[in-house]
Amino acid sequence: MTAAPRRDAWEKVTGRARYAVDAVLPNMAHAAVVRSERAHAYLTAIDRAEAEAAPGVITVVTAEDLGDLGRRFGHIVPDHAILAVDKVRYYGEPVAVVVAETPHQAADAAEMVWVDYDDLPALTDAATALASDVLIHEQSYLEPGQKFLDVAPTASTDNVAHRNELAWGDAEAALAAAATVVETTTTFPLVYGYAMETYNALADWQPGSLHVVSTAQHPLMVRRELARMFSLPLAAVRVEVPYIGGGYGSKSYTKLEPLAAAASWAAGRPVKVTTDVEAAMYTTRADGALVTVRTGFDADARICARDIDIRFDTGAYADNSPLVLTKSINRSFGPYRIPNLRVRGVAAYTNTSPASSYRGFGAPQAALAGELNMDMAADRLGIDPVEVRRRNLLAPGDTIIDGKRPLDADLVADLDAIVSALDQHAADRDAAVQASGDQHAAVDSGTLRGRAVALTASDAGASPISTAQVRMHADGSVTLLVSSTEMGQGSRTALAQIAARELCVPIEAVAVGQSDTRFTPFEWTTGASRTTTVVGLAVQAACADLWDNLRAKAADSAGVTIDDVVVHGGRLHFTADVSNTVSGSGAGGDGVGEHGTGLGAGAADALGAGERGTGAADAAPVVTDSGSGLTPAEVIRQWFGADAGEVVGVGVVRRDGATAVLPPFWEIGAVGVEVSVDEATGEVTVEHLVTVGDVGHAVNPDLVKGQDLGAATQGLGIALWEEMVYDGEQLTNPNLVEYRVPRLRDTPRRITSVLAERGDGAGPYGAKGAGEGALNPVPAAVAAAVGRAVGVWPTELPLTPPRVWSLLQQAQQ
Amino acid sequence: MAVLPELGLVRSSDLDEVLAAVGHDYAPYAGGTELVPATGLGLRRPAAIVDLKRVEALKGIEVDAGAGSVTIGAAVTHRRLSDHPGVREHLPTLAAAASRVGNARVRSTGTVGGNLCFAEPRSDLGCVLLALGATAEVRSARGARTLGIDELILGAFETSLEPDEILATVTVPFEPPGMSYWKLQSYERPTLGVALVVTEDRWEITVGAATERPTRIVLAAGDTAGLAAFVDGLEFSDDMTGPPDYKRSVLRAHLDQTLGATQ
Repeated sequence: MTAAPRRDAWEKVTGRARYAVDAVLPNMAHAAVVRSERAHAYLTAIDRAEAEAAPGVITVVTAEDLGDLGRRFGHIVPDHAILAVDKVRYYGEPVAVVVAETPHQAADAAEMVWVDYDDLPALTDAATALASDVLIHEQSYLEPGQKFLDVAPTASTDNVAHRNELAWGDAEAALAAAATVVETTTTFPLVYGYAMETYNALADWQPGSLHVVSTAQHPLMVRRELARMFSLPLAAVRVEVPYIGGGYGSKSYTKLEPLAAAASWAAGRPVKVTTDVEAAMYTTRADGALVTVRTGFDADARICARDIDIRFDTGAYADNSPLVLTKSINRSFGPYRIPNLRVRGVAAYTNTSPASSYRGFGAPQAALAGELNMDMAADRLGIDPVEVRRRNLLAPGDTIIDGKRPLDADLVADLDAIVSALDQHAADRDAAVQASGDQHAAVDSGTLRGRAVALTASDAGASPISTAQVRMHADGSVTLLVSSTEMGQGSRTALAQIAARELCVPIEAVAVGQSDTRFTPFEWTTGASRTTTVVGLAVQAACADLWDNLRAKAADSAGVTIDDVVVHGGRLHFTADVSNTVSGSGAGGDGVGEHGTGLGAGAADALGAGERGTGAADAAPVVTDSGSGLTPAEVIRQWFGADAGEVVGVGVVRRDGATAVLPPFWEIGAVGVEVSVDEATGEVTVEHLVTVGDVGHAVNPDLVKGQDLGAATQGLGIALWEEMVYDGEQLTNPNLVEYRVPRLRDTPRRITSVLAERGDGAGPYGAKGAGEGALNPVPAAVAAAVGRAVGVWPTELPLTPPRVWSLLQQAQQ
Repeated sequence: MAVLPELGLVRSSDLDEVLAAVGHDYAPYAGGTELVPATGLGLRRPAAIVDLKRVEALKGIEVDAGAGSVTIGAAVTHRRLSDHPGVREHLPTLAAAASRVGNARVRSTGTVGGNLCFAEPRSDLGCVLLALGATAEVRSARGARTLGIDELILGAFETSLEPDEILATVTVPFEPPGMSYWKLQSYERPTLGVALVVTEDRWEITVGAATERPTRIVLAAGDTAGLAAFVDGLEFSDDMTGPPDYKRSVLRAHLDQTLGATQ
């Protein structure tokens, strides 16, 4: 489509954008959270008398105060107490909350809450936890008979949070018969989804209602949990989400909202809870993973089987990790032809910060082993790593997982694009060396180089349930209402572009409201790279509905039937005045003239925007009326008989039509990297990063490229720097000085961002999602490239300078 | 919590008033880039902070051509230091090191005095100033005394300052020919810093960041055995930036490259 400037740019750069943390309510009080100083311990006493007497303190809340409130949350397993009940399971877990008039008073008083512990063994890694008889959770929280993803709750006889498996064929037999078997084991670190705005929530509980303003990515999911916890109807719970300062999946599902709501309930005041980076790291992180991949190849380097074991370190509470594990299994084996497969996954409870959704959602963890394994296999088989992939890649339309949507991407073409960009960089460097006449510069002394490609395919888009509402005003301008949250990805811009195109209005005439469950219509989630695709379809459907409503109004005003009104070129025409054209009869009324309902790109192009009720793509009406039809604004004003009123369109996406088959789309990750390694210091420099955004159609190319670069950079952080380090019970680096996120000078020296627009997606104009794809293969690609440079395959991320240095030492032995 | 406790504030442009206030519970404060995080984490619990930023005597940069030195006030920011023409002319290595301290926000508020007095080992200025033979003037209501950098910085986060003393100025001899400073910085703070003054007959080597405090040795040029013994004898810290073996290896590689073989 076309470039459109970000709609939120002005207010954000001028400091006027309202984020969740900016929210205030009259009579608001402030909370400070008292956090556990043990990783695993029984709570024997909480002495709050001194804190309650401190200046400005309104109340000090502990679990025992919460009475009839549903004490636990967790949208899959309700294992997560609002405030620790009887025992704590990780260092930093909320034990009590102090509510005071000012943040200072709350923080001061929080230090006067004295907690006594009776220590239990701290199981701070998955291997220890799975081998231990000590249970982190003694009970199952699911009702008898309740299941999640067809897996019954594990009896609490071990520290397994979730287990799942995917298999076809006979992997064991095929591996035994394989000409070559290559095995790879990798450790994916515990990482934190750093966002500039840390978690915060403001809650106002009043009898019969609850109003929350928070950083929730999925306000409707949070509404549902709060309604259950507070025994309120959905309509009585209002969750408002202004701009979010970064999400990356870390703000999926319920986080601080129950704590703020319970504090408000107890204090009888609106209460604000905020976090610093340390508290944010105690709130959620991504699952760490130990993954082993064994791949069997035949004599032609074709895969005959893959056997994969995934072990997650899920932390103290399940949160969304059972689903992340299931998706990790689906995303572990790659977009290859695999006749025999077995993937087994287990998510272990440990006494560390709870893990949950994070950009990529299980894909980066598994792809690290899976894609590194392809490189190791190429080495063993003596063929090029690109070639081994090319021989095994699935073709468009092939089945990845039986019963799911066939592959909607051309991966060989994506791979070719990566290789060509990597080659171009190498050629440019050679040319530069020749031009400089310095033959020695070709091999910088003390520097090793390596390059690698990596590919992933993720079943993305989540549940296709989405609703959009467009309200057209008397001047023809439009307010678009969706509950999709804007967290920096630019969704309000992209969705406004779709609405503008469908309604034939300039983008300036489309306003997009913030997510607010009281006013904006239902949205499943803002995640899984879904918004442009799934919400975009809902917006298209809402615009189609709006056109039909306008046709009905035009017909009503003119005393004709709706079938006598067609939409062409963004205007409404009466077929009574039209000759030689297909009547709208039997066409427009039932929604034929289907532009915007998910046709492929070819059909969408043939039928331009703002066409409705014309019956057929190739039969544009010949307009013979004296004028050029009516504008929508004229229709509205005519019908209301005043320069007033508005017409509304509603669009719904569900598991039907373009999104009948799941997933709504396969999100492709396709990257290449060239790295250099300093032999003395072990420092890795990313010389060249290639991303291919296989998005079907880029509604806003700049935003897609921004997503790709951002995602890839986050992947570089995992590959090279980011790791939550536990030393015993405690996180040793709970701050951004020691938890190192990528910085500007870490960005690759050269970036090639390719967009592959083949119109092969189910979304608007053939679009598919972006946002996570470019992260997923990056850790694997960097690991493989460093392995090639150094001569030893890495087994563990991040590849910090000391870790690469020790690989270099190994290489010398 | 990131919320700071409520603190008293003493603010004066008069050095004597400031010195009268500084004490055990009254922490001197300039850029706050060390004190504020330390207080937020509860590592420091001052009752009040004493603002040094308005005291002109602590903010000067004076070039003394006669003495061949530059005197730098403790409340001078890294940015002013790195931008100052006199410092750039006479202390180019120090100016360059200051221009690469921390990040832009730290450089625009953090000060020379704060950097030295917190004695964070993973730091650049202590190493460079020790290599330059700088001296520190320390003041209190009781009087003044002058210390070498290695007399001021005693260990990790440890100085010889009494609770009522502040660092007033640092006097730095003009940079000698043959000086360089190199650092490896993978994280927010340097992993290893190496200041060298290499002349025809002398190797002056100062190692910082990787040890508890900057360490200096002067060797005859070509004394590779002495150099190797120095490197082997250093006690490197074991922290997130790397294990001791790593730091020793990186130091050796750097010295190999700049001075010749050390092993």
